[in-house]
Amino acid sequence: MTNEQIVYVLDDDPEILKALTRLLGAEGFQVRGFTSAHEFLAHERSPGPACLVLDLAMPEIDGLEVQERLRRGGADLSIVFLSGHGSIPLSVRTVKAGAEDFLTKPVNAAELLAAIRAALRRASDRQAEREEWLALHQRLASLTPREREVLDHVIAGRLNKQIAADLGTGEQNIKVHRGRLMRKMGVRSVVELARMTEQLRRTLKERDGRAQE
Amino acid sequence: MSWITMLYGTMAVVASTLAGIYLAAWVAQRDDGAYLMFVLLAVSMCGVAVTEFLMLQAQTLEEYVLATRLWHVPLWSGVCALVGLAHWRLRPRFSWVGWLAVALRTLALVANFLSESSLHYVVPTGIDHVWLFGEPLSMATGAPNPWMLLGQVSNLLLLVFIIDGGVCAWRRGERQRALSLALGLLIPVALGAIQSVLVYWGFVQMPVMIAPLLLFMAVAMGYELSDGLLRAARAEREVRSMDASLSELSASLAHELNQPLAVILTNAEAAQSLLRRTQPDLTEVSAILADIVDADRRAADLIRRIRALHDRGEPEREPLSVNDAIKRVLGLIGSELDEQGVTISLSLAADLPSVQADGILIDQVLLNLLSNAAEAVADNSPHDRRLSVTTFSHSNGVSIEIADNGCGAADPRRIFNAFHSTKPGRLGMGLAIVRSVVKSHGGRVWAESATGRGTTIYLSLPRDCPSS
Repeated sequence: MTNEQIVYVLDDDPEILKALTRLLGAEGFQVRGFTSAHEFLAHERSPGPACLVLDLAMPEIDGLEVQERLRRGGADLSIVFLSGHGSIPLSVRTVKAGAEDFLTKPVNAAELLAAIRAALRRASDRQAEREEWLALHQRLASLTPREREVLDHVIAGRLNKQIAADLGTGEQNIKVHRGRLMRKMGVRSVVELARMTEQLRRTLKERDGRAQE
Repeated sequence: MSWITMLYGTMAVVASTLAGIYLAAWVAQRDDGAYLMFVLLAVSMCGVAVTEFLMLQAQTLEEYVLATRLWHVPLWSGVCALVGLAHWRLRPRFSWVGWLAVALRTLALVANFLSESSLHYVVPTGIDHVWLFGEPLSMATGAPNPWMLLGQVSNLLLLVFIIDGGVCAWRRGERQRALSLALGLLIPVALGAIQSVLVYWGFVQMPVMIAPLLLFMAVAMGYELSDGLLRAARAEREVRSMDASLSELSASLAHELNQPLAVILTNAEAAQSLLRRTQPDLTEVSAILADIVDADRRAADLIRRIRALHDRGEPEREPLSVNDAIKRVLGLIGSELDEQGVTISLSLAADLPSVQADGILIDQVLLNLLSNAAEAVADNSPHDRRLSVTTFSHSNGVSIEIADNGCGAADPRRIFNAFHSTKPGRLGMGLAIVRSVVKSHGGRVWAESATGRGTTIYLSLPRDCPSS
């Protein structure tokens, strides 16, 4: 399912917002513009890769605050910052906090479009990754406990005979379990299986690590 | 050590120290001839102290006569230095008086060395001792030498010259300099002249002791020196603060201009993108061009106003009635305020004195403050948008208070900073520029405000503009 890519623009200056919306619309993007950070944060975002063009200096909630709130809410938007006066420490902060890019106004259209395209690409890559991981995770979850045990032993490199001895059951049973789990996981060889489990394990660790922040 | 030695020793040391300091000052600032005169004066003071000491300690008539002869040399150079000083620092009207004094004193010096003994006595007859505070001081006796008159008339002319200089300085408004320098030079010269007349014409029997009087001069010189230093420090501070306000101005200008530039650029690039299509939407492109023209006009307007401020350099000051200025500005934005439903209450003092100010700049300041206030109340409910303007006079000048019951500001001091903005895209002179203009008139502007409880801007303008 291809979700449409959307570019959100958030800038408190209505004239700048109008100009940016025009430019991005003319270049063929789907644009949604907001002058109020509250409105933007409250509104329901459609699924699909999206990027946010965000003004830094806004009254009440500034750009940094918006970035922080999005992060806390677990949103996965690629952010391109726009600022009237950028300093190096400030731009480093935003990028460290996960921003895609930091540009100063008046912004060159070519630069802005390149940044947005990169941001959208990153967003859609992340989305694809996520979907893939979800699929893998589902497959793993579909295994019975016995099949899980057999899987661990298989990727450890044990022969069917040895696994049977370890688990106290017949070699034939092991063969059946093995066949089923290979089918469920959608792999043809042990190497593929091992790679897949490793990837799952690594992503799980990353997820845990990020959740702890 | 006798008190004579201590006193004269101190005099010599103080004089030579002053000479050293002023020499260093002159080396740093060659174009100020007064410093060189100060050096000469200090050296002369030192010379007088030394030779007078020798006179007072002379044991034989020959010693005394020699010392007296030598005594005239630093006296001569001192007179030259005094004339030079008065000429450069006080600028008297009759400079010929000074030159004549120098001429006479030079003749006296010549006569001094040509005469058999010294300028004072035709033939000194003997040496006498006077006891003062337990120390013997030598003095001579003899028939007074009429050539002495040269020197004494020279002293008189010198006095007149210094007085003239002091009066001129006073009239020019340099009151402090007139007092400190002129008096500081006048008193010792007067006392010394009187003393020399009394002693040498035989009215009083005492040795001549000018050196202690020179302490006065040393004090005057010291004062003049420190005054010069203080003035230099103040000038540097003023330049630095002018630098700061100039950079504030340009920072504020850059920030204000950035917005229309960004609008123009992005709109233009949008139009370019639209025109690249096979079927460009020309109505859209028209709308874009209209927005571009608008933004450009705003930028040009800002630059025009800033240029007006800069072209004047020093704001042209003329008597300005603040009440009239307020009414004028309200005339300009009155209809807009009506449309926005803003009510204004005025309490303008009836007998408000006029201030020395630049009308255009003050108009801009008031325009900016009133527009800000109107915008602050824009979010209030339609019947609750209130502004008030009050003027009254105080001891030094005029006070203006502009109050609104709008949204207020959390930190009322920050609103005057160059990068502070709470309004999107609004082009105006900016409160930083308001502050610069008010300061350049010698006034003050500050705000009191709290979030949600309105803002009051206080403006104070002095009646006399500060002398630059």
